[in-house]
Amino acid sequence: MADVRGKPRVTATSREAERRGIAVGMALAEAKALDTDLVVLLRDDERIARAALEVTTALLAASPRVSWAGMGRPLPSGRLASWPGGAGIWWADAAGLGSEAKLAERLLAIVSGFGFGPARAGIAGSAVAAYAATYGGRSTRTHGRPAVRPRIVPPGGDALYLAPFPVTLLDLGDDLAETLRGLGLTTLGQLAALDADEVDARFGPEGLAAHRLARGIDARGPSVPRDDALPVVEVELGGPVATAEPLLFVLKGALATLGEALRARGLAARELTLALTLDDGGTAERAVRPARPTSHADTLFDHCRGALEGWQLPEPATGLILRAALTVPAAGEQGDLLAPRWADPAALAAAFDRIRGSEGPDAVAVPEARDAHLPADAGAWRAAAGGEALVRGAGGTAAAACDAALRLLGSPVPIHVRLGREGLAAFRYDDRWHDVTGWSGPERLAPRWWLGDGAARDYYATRTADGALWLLYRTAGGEWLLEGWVD
Amino acid sequence: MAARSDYVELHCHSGFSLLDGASNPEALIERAAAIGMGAVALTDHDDLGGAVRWAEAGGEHGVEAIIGLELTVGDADARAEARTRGHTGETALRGRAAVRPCAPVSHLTLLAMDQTGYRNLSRLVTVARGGERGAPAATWEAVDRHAAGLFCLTGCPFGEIPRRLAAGDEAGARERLGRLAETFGGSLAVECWDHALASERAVVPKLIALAGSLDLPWLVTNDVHYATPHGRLVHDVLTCLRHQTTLDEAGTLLRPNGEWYLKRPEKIAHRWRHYPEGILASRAVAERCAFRMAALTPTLPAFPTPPGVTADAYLASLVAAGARERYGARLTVRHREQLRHELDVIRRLGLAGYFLIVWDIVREANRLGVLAQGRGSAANSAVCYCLGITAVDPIGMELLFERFLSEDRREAPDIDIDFAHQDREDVLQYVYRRYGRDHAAMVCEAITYRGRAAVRDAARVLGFSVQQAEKLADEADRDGARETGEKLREGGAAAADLDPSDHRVRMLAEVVRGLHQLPRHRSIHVGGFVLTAEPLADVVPIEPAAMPERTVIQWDKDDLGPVRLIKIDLLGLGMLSMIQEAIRLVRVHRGVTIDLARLPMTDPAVYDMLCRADTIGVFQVESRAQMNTLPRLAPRTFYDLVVEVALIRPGPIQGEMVHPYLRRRAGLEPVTYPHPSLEPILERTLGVPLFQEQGMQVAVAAAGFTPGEADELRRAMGHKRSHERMARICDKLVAGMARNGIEPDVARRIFNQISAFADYGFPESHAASFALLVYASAYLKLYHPAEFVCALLNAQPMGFYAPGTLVEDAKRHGVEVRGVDVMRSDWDCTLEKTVPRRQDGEVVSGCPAPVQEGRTRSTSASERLALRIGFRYVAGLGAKAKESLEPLLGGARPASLEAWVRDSGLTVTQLRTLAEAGAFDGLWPNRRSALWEVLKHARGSAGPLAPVAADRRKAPVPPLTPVELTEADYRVTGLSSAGHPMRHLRAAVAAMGAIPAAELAHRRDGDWVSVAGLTICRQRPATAKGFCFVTLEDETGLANVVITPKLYEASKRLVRRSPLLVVSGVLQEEQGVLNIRARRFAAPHPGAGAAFVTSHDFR
Repeated sequence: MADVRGKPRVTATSREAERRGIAVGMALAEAKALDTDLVVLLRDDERIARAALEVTTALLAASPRVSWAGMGRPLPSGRLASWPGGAGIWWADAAGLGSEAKLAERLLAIVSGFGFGPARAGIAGSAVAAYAATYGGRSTRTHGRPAVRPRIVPPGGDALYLAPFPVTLLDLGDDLAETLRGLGLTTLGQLAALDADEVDARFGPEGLAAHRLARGIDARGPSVPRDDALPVVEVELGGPVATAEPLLFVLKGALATLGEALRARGLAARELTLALTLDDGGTAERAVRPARPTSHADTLFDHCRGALEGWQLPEPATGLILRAALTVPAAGEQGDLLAPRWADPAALAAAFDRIRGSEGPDAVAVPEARDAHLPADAGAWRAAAGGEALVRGAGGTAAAACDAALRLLGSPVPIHVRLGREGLAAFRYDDRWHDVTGWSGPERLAPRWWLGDGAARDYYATRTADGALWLLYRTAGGEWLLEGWVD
Repeated sequence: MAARSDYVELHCHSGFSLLDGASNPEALIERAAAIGMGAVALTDHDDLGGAVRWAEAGGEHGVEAIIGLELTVGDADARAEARTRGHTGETALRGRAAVRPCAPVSHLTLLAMDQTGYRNLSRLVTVARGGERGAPAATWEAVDRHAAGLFCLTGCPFGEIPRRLAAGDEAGARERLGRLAETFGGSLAVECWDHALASERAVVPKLIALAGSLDLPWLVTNDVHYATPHGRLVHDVLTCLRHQTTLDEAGTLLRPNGEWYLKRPEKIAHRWRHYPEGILASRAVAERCAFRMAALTPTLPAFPTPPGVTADAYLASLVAAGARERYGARLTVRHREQLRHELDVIRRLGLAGYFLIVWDIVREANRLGVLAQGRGSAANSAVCYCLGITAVDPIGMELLFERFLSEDRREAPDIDIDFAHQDREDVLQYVYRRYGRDHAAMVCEAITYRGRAAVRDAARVLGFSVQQAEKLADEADRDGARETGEKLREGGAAAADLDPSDHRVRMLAEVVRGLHQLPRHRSIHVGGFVLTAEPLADVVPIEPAAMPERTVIQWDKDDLGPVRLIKIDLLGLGMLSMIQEAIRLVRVHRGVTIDLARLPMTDPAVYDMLCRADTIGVFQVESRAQMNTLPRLAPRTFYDLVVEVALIRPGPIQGEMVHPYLRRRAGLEPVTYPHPSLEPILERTLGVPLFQEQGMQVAVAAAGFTPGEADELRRAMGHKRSHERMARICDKLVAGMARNGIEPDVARRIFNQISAFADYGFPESHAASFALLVYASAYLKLYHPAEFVCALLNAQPMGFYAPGTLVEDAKRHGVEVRGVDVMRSDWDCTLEKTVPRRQDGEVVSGCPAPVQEGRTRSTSASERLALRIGFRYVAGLGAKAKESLEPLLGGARPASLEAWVRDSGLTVTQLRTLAEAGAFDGLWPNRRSALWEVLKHARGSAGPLAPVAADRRKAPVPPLTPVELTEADYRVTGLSSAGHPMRHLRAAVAAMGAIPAAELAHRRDGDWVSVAGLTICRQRPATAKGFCFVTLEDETGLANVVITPKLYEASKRLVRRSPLLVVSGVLQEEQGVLNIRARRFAAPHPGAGAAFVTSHDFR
């Protein structure tokens, strides 16, 4: 179930629910009226995405180009097979992988292994025809278990194959779908038979796009998966090398290749590992850290040359391996953090990325005021994105000076309080008594009751003899706690 | 030193401070009584909606209920400012927005000391709410003008004076306070508070000092927003709703703590123990605020009578004239005595003016040509009958006047008048014009939280997702919020897949409980009008309603009685619109004038039709249950129709009175009475109580109830029933019957019958009023079927059946139906003379133009009329399209398809729908070709570089098959002139063994039959113990199907969802009623438009 235009509607059903009359698109209230025992699950797009990623990863074992194409729409029943609530769709490239049928069967076997129910595969020269072929596949029974044989559309036969399919196979807008229905153009063949200029004159670009699909012309297809692995360049030296010159010669080319690989991924190297394979089979490694993350081969070369210089090897080298050990997203021109005029957000983002890289993802944070009554709720540190903090700082807004800042303890600390005739006289914290010279309060503040703690606290701002200003509160149960001080 | 009981809370918000008060007036008063506070003031934000309830509760609990309000006041820009801040404006006080000493709106607490003060309160609210809705604010000048009789407090921290002080503007605060002192003289005090906040504590000493410097008193209030500390939860949620945010996001929009509850006087006294004068002053002010709501004595406007003639005399003369007209030669001494009696009662109650006002409204409706008819208990009055307010002769019907008006009850009469619903607004505007908007307004309806709304709102604010909220709302069913809260706590939350131990989930249940019956918003009552002689705003605040040209008072209909305001219900009734239109059509096309008042009520042909249950479209008796009863009851007289109307109601059905009555009427069981004393009462209904009056009379005769007690019984069992009250009356009734020698089991049965229909039964007079419309509509259907169906279609939405079914029924009654045609249709459906056709079906000459009223000669009775479907039935053509089309329809219509596309102002989608409906058939043969052409013209010039479309001679689209034609008709207009979908599916269903519905009449009881049809009605009433009733429609008529609970459970998917069903089962014939007791179902593919049929389901 998901929210569709503000109304909860059924987005997918189990077979059993379908048998009981629950249909995709039905209002939840109607579905529940049909079956009071209905188990309703909220649509979990995150879960779907995770599952899709898992399947995609598995499918990559069969084809180098696989794309998750989202959830297909449930099609009107009829002669087409349909899945209640639609099915996940993947495009996979069959080119150059031998038998298409075998590939399809392999893909099906992989998907079936996930246990999502019967899967189908169709192979065609265009995505739209492959999609249609998937729906048009024939069910068979193999060893007592239902299976679906992949449907293969002969090369060049996409338009012909698509012709008998209903236009609803295409993801048309409501208006175009209604118009085609009104004209009695119910099949893709009828739509394809129209002249393109007639279509354009009556239906505009949307109609023209549908017309192209109906003729089997489809620009969609599988894409190359993103390679998240960090680049490595390995070079055989051809024989043992005992001097730096041959190494430097090879190194230059290797760094150019590595730099290209980094730029293709939008990365800059913050640290390289320069490894040499030695003649005795062992290896020697050195880390190379440029002053700024970069993918520039010349800069990296300077650093690598520096690393090689004076490097005493126990054996001649037979090979060279360059590995990008730490990377950050590539940014624009980098500046100097210490230069006062420096305010380049891209460069700043890169610098912060370096900090995050070494100190953890939350290492860069910005203070944020929050609209709340309780001091503890009135501000928070929020992990900063990119160069946010400094950019603001450059503009001066975050740099507004404050005379004093409230410093909160990690968590409020129970304290002893001595009361005098005028109220607060002293409190004991950090193993010593602090004499109170003045205070204001109580300010009764109640925490967020919906989070589980609704008991009010009476806050006191307390000045001690040493001039410090403290924030104390007393709970409804009479317990005193120190929450922080003003710095 | 102030005693603890000296403190009086003078600043208290109820739920009528919409979304800012978390307790109802009754809860606050109860709390005041519980903590020993003898007086308390209600001070809602710019609202007196809770005042009557406040006063009533005060009376009940012995608490002095002071009336006041917290007025939003400011300069000319106040409204805009108030709107941006939400209606209380308090956001500015506590965060987010900075405190601005010169903000254009602020608050002022005003209390009514006397009636003048109350009047000024009401006027100020009216003024404040007179501008834009949702942003009330009065100007300082208005406060100056309406200060008399009011005691003024300087308000909460959002008041201008504390706000200025908080901002350090002491001079400004002093100036404003000085001006208030000039305005209110000695009736002014500075208001101080302590909610344990530093910001308040910083201001209060300055307020006290300022008061002292001007020699003014100061006093303590707690600015109460909920009765008990627990109310804080609900208040926070309401605050979020007001600001359309969640609790997590609300921050300082919420109050910092829960101190705004009605505190015990001793607690307040302790907190202010060093300043007793602030406590003592609260009591002193309370004592000065002596106005109570009971002092209100609104009067009706004096109806203008001829010089020297009193209202009583004028009424008597009108009644006499009406009696002569109504009764003519039938006017007997008995009639005169009854009229005299009624006039005497009216005179003694001082209600002559009221009757004259109602008479005048009906008279104006007649003048405007708007059909009107009184309903309800007014039909018990011969005076109302003679004035033309009602249409039933109560003397002839032997109806009891005291059921309508009684000196014993001392309560206002309740006259409800139905008007043709499409023209009712004309009548409403007449009332406004006649009495002026200062003296007339509609009653509001306070919409309060029930379970579902409470769950949805609370869940949203607590941060649950929409889906989760929806699942939780499902648990609410139709319960109140309190019950729903309990349900959530006792498993409902778990059923909605939430962890009941989760804190938010537990809080949700609490909040939902707390929202119980709190006002959520205000809407207009369905038809209640109040009129007063004095300016209405002196009695109750008036505000503009959401509907243009409407104004409403701030009181609900239940608030009117205690303050003696009389309501007149001016209701809209679709059937009156239909009858009015049908009569007009008959007059225009036939030259025949039908006078409803003179319809012969004895026409056997009309009763024959009713006995056949040929009643689709007939008022009140067209439902499946009524159609099943008609052949059994076999009405032959007007009173039979009265019984028919009253019989098929939840009351008699629950009281198990239907079958005994029908059996007795058929002579299948003897007429007996529970007790001899009841025979005179129940004789006319064969010993079975059917009407409310009989229930009351039974209580009087069998249990010795007084008429007042009997009426109390009726009301106790009325809409807002109270179990305790009911139990007390039940005991009294049973005990009374025991005293009269009635056996306990008989007594219990009588009580059950009374309680069943007292709530859901009709008064006899009401049933009689409706029976008149039953007869009139049946008469029109029988003698003027074309006019009948045309009027019915033009009055939609109304009635039980979808337009498609009405059209099919008309066709079966010989009416030719013609589709939408751009050259002939009007917006509404119209009638055309039928054109002679040759044997081969071809038209002899061209179709005549549509008949226009006033310029076409009348059609003789022998000539037939065809129904032309109007544009209003084309899907997607709404008010805007109507506006575009009307100039074309009234003048020379475009003569080509291209011109229609160019000149009609319709969108491409609308033009497409018209083409699909066949509306261009006259200009372009073949609907699809027309659509192809429309699309070409509709795209217009695509620019110089756009491709030039090849213009084929023939559109490359397939022509419509007959099946597709019907399908298109149903899809686009919901009906078809071409043919019923089942006509096309007949061969397919015949192969499944289905016979046409019309053939059922030729089968015998017990035969196994199969029928197929469109499911036009599915009913599963609560009174039917799980049985489901389905009506199928095919091209020959209707078939009724009964499904047992077990079979329904097994087949409900098919039954509930299939637009087309094949049902096999056993035919049952009982007293002329045919039903198929279903055994098997099949659901063929719903082709030919069957999928687009609208059915009347489970309503």
